Amino acid sequence: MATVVGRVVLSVRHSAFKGERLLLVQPWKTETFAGKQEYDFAIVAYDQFGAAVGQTVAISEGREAACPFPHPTPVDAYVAALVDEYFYKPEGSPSKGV
Amino acid sequence: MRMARIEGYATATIKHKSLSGWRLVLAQPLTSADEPEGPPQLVIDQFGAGIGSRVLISSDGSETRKIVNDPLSPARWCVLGILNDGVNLHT
Repeated sequence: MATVVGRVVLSVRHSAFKGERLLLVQPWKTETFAGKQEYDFAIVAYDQFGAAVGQTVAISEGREAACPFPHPTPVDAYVAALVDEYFYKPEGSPSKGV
Repeated sequence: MRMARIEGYATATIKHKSLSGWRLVLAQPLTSADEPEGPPQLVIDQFGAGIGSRVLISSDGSETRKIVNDPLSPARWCVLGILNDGVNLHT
């Protein structure tokens, strides 16, 4: 899970990128799930679904981030879903959801 | 493969087409001492694991792509099985 904090626009781009939309996202840490405003370092993720700034998204990192592309594409993080709502209840704590 | 505890779930309307119809659960990876380690991950669940249950999860994306039956799926984690109640992780 990650929160969108901004966009990245390229003027010169890799030939595999055409009409791409790149987002700056902050991956969640354990503390974020507990409701704190603490995030991991921001990373750039490829977005095909039109996520807005402030939205919670599900991201894939690593090998799987490049899987949705038919041709080899240099992508490290990919927005796989726009999270509508989530429910989180770690063992022995009150529930937390949005 | 990692032991994990199901601690929640997420819903998404707009998502990669390979994810439609699949349950997305939040799984907290555990150490051998049953302590949480690392942030919870969104995991494809084909077994209907309940909140609080302990499961075996795999980060093998190629197996996950077979489960969702889409070679272009970005999904990485999947639930491989649900642990029996009372399984002791301490050796």
